[in-house]
Amino acid sequence: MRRLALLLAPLVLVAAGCGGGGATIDKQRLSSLVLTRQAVGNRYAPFYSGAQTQLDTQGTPRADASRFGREGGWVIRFHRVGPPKAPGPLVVESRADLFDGSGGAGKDLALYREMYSSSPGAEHKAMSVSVGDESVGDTFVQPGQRVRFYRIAWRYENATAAVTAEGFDGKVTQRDAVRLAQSQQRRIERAAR
Amino acid sequence: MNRRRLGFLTLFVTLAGLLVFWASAASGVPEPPFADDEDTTPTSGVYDFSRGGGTNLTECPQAGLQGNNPQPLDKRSLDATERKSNGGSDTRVNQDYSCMPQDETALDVNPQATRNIIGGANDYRLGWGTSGFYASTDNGKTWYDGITPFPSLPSGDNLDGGGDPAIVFDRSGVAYYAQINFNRTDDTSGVWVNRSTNGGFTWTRPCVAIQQGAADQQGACGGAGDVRQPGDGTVSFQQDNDTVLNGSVPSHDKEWITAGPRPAGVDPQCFSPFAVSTIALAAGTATPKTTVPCTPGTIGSDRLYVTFSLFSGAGSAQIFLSYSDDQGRTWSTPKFIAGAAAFCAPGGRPGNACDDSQGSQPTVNPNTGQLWVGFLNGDTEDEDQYLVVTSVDGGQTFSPPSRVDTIYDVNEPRGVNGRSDCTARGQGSTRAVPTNSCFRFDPIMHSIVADKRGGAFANDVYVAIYDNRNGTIRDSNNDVFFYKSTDGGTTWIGPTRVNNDRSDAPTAANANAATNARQGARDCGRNNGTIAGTQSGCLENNFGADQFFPWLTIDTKGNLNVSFMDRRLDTDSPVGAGAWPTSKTEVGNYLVWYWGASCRISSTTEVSQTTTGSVPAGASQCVAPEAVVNPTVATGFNPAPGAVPGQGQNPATLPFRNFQVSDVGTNYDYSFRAGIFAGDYSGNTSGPIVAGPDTPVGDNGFKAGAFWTDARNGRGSGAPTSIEPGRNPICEQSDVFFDTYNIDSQSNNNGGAKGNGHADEDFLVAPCPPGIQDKGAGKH
Repeated sequence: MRRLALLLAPLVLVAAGCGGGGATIDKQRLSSLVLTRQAVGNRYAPFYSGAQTQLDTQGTPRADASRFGREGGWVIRFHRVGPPKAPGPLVVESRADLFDGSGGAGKDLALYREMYSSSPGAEHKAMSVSVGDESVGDTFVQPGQRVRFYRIAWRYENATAAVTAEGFDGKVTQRDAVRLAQSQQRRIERAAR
Repeated sequence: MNRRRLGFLTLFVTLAGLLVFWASAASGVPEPPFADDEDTTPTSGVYDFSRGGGTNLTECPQAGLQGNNPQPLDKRSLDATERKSNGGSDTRVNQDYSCMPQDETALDVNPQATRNIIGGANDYRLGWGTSGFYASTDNGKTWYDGITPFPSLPSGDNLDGGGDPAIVFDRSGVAYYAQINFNRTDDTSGVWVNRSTNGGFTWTRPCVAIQQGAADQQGACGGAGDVRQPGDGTVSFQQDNDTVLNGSVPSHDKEWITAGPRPAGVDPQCFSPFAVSTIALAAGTATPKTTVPCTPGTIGSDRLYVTFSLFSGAGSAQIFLSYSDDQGRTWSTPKFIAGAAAFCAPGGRPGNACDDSQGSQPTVNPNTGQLWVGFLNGDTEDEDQYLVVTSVDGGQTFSPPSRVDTIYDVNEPRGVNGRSDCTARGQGSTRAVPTNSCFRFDPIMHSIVADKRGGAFANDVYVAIYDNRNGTIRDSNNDVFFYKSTDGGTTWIGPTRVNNDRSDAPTAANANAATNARQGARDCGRNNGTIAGTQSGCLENNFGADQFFPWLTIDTKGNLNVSFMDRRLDTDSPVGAGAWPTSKTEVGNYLVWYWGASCRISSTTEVSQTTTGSVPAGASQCVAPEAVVNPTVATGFNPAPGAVPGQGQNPATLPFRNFQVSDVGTNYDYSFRAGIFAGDYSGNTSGPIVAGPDTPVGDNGFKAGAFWTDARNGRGSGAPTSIEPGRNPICEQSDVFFDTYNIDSQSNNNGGAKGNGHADEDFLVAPCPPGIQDKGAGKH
């Protein structure tokens, strides 16, 4: 049975990518699909929150704001109050995009896959993560001070979401990033009901 | 393997293949037109705060304000940063108490009354970007300010987004303020010019003419009782066609304005008030506007020239020019002026057109009326190039472009070559950013000025640019370079490094990492043919401090005045310091001052040649000994990563005297929204752009003026050490400042600046004081 599920997984993905599925998350809920200060913790403060603009995808494969029946996107960014070398990420970005169907969201996740297949940093590695219906992740290091980045993107129904966690290497972990992604996914699931 | 399993396997392989194909197809986003993948979206436009767009602050640092105007019920105690900021001679120009930023500065002086100075800046006091004006009638000691009126549209709406200020007086003392205006929710945009006849205290409100029926040649403004002349101030306008912000129609960006006498034989013209479709302009199919009789009494002393970038599918950005003889009331059909050339062939445009251009600036010789326009062009194999075209008939026809030099900007640090810390803060991934900071500083806006004298100097024109030829993607070291032409803009002499601090050239030995090095030296870590790359391909090395946003003017005695942002005095701010510790990777080179540099040209000789070589003695004033004639011939159009002109110039023999202008070094991380924006240019003036009858300059007593953005009144927005009010943009703000200095003094201290010449701790981390938080109604 498990083997059957594995074999059928691509079928599900292709069906999603071919435009199947309807919108189950209403675009009125867009701003509620990203992390909140409550979710990231009191040590973190938001320094930007709003509808995604050109800058948020500029120079990436996801730059076309009207891609795949996209209905809108939201982004929030936090940074941490306190000593910079304390455990945990220093900067957290959480974003979400809504599409008119799960097919569009699937195509958007494919663009995330393309983005995460390489990085401008060093020690780039793919990360095995499981969030939402399908997901992708990676990690890399910005040289110099060895700043570590974890990026996780996923699709859930007609939404895509992504979390980026940045901090000094050894202070921020994959677990931090996964915890944030799972927390955001719970918010998305609540919005889908 | 049984048949059932084989069937599943076949299905799996087929579907997986389909999946790969589909994913690949889905990612087929069109390649950007810039050959090197630089961003091709307009540099201006919507650059806003998050939803809400307000600070909710009732009090914030207000250092630099002078005069006896009414003041708010502000009970704060001044912090150490504010007390130090107030200690020098810099005058804060914006008079608002909004705790919002001002940036991107331009100014000019009234030739009829030189105590009258007008400045312009992006001004966010309303919570979004508008065009601020600032007027002084006492040589810049005190200022009046406001927001220029928004243009009215045929729809009855107003375009309330504005920016990209440019200011000029004509010889009769009428002031003009050019700007772009745009909608935030759709693609409607245009270029307009406001006019002031009282020294910049009152401004006209531009009007897009409403055409009432196809036969209507007069048009109307707002309706009955509207006293404006239809079309007044409208240089170019495009209404969106689908009410969605999706780039469905061309968009306007980065205009500039100048004024000058009509050349001999050129008569004034006036035009139909109706704007031309920019879709037709971009396609080259626009029907020229009809000429109409000028309204009596409106012909100005000078012809006004406005150039602008038009982003469209026809070219990533084409440069257009429009002119006006009736004080900005009517404007000629915008004309594509960037021309075509062999050095634009890599862009692949029809006829080698130089269609991938931005950052244009016009300048006129006030004796002959000859016009030059300089602009950045990206129709190149790799690095960008700076081009100049000229017109001797008032902008009717233009020469083909001449190539001043390569702009070495592909190796600027960016998100796509390793500055992921900046993209996490919200910066666009292809925007150039300096080492240690995340504010964008793409080398797009450079500066060009014509000599103001006639005779032997009538063909002389000068350019100041900045680029990263002395840095790498890991360690930026932008320098300001000066070029001059003495044959009307065909032959160029340079580069001459203007800033005279230490600036070491990257070499294979000091820049290339042992592993992953690609291209080498200044291009270490770069991927071939793109702006992408990885910083791990470069060694960490402080090559020198960044200088950027230069502005160049000249007075009537030939004193060249260059002013620019400068980080040289910060030699000791530590790695990991400041508000964003993961961004601070290099010792020093972080806090920003404003600096000036001057040099006098008192003699000239025409140098006109197509080859490279040493500079003739008669044309060597203000030229570095290492500079050459036609540097672009020396390097070719696509310079290799090795040594290029402008590297390794001896600071001891550089001709420009440098001096500090601003009193304090400020932290641009506190300028605007997590430190990602501080404007795209800065300004100065060396007397009026157009000489008038009352123009005392230089030794006669006129001092040059500088007008710049700094963040001395900005404070931390939270981590790591400050208190977070929880609002946006919290304590971040920049203001605009003015100071005067003597550019023809031989003194080494003619900047007049006092104060700290190092990375002062109080500016390195300036916490957001709890006392400035919203106290609620009545609690003051």
